[in-house]
Amino acid sequence: MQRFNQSVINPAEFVAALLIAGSVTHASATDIAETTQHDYWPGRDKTIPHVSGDTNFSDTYQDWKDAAAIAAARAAGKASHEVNFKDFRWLVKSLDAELVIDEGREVFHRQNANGQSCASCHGENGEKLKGAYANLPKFNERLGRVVVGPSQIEVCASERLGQQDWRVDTRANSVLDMYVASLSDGHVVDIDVGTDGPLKTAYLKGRDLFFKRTGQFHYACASCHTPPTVGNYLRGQRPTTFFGDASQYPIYHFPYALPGDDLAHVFTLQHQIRSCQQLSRMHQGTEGSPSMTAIEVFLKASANGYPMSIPTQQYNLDTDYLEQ
Amino acid sequence: MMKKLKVMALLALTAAVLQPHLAAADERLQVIREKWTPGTPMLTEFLTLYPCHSEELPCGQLPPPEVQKVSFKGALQGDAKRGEKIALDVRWGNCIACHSLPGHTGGTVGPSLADYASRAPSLDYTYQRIWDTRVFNPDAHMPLFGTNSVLTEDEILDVMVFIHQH
Amino acid sequence: MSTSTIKARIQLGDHGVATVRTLIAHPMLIDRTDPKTGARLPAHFIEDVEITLNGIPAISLEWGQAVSTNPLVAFELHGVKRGDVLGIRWKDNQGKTDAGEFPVV
Repeated sequence: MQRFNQSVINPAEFVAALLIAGSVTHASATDIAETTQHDYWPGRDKTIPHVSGDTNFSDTYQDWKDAAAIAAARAAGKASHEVNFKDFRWLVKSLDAELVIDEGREVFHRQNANGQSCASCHGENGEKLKGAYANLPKFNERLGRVVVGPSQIEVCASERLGQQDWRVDTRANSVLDMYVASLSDGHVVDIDVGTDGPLKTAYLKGRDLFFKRTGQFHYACASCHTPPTVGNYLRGQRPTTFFGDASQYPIYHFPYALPGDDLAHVFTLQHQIRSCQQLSRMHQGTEGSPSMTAIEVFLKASANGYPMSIPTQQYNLDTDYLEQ
Repeated sequence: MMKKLKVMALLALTAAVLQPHLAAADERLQVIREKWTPGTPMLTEFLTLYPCHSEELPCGQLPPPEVQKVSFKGALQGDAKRGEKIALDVRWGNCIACHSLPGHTGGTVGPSLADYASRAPSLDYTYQRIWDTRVFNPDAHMPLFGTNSVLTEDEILDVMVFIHQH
Repeated sequence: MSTSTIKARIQLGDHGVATVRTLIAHPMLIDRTDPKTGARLPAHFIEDVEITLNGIPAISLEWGQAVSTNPLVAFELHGVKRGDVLGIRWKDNQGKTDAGEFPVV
């Protein structure tokens, strides 16, 4: 193999070289339309935008599809890992997260110099926003793009309240996102990705991105979050499938935080995706960007038909099984 | 300086066209190892050298890496202790995430390698598996340690010596 | 109904056993030195917590500097029935105090 002595290599030229190299030995495109060929993890065709799609990926859906099913599975002695870890999150609410929601409520009612706050339009205690989070992400006509919770908050706050510090990835934005999401606790997720339009386009793009192999390890999100990796140990943990879980985001993720973050341990869904990207040595997307929003649409639609659960307990702290 | 860079770029492009895969991986490995110390978090600036999710950045249009076929030449020599360290470190090889290893219980995504030596596969096979496992399984979950510039030549040799231990 | 610093969740199970989880918002700071000025920052932590059932003392907790911020306490209480009132009161080393009453529903 040739070795170059000079150590200064311009990354842009390097990428250009890679692109040329790639196109010289280009293979034919796949059925799912793409202008550039990408390697995909198998399984895209088995996804459906509804939580019941889990049946195409695991054999546990009947054990957690609603409260009765979870109760029956528990009575039958099934442990969390035998029901794809989708039991305890719907059973136990996080008590610590209440403090973060309190902080979010305070920000929601915080008045600017003109005496305006989020409550001025959205009602005291978010009266008019009850259930709204179950329909996010959605297409914002005026902005002309699909927005997720944090993006919508950023736009609303900067345009209408003059709050320039409530951008995505700030503490105020994160606790507000948590507060607004808590107003939708129990509401069933309903994202319409069946009708032709920007949401459906985002869903399909997000699905492709979820299954696209990227990064230094050449992993897709689906590499870990579909069988056979689901059900096996990866380091000390066992991953779960991607159905249903989006209905618990934003999640209170104490004690985890990415280095330098001061977000009250609130993990928005895109924050979680960024965390996964970092672990898998993939380039971390920017919160609110089109590609990250597309992945969020895909994940949220994969929870269609499932009730939101905010704030939920992140980890199963039920140790009763140890005493059996 | 500019002339040097132009020669560099020309060499890079020529090498890229004539021997696309191996030259590209080798250059990238050098670039990364200049700044990144194994055992520390991967530096974000290098992650745009691989395909990514972004719509805006060029990495979002990068094609998947071509499958690289390699063969093992010469005798197997390396540092087993260092190989063990590489295999256990989450920010280096992290083989333990998916495999059980000699003396260590690990993940179950991949087969156990605890008794690898007793199966005595050829060095060519082991080397290819680590370098680019897609020759054997196009949909494998295993990282492309060679093709994607994850491990250096001697790091791979160290790991091979480690897992060939009894 | 929660006070400004005390939250409680009470789940009444079988045989009069209630599982209680309570969260108290409090900085719980140890005695320490300001890294910038070198000044002493005194400890500020809850010393006593009294838990009562219908006014009768049931559990008494004595805490020190080792208990961390926003302590969460979970316990089982026996002999509880619907309509009972759980009382939680705390006092810290600076003399501050708070109390709350939580009906069992």
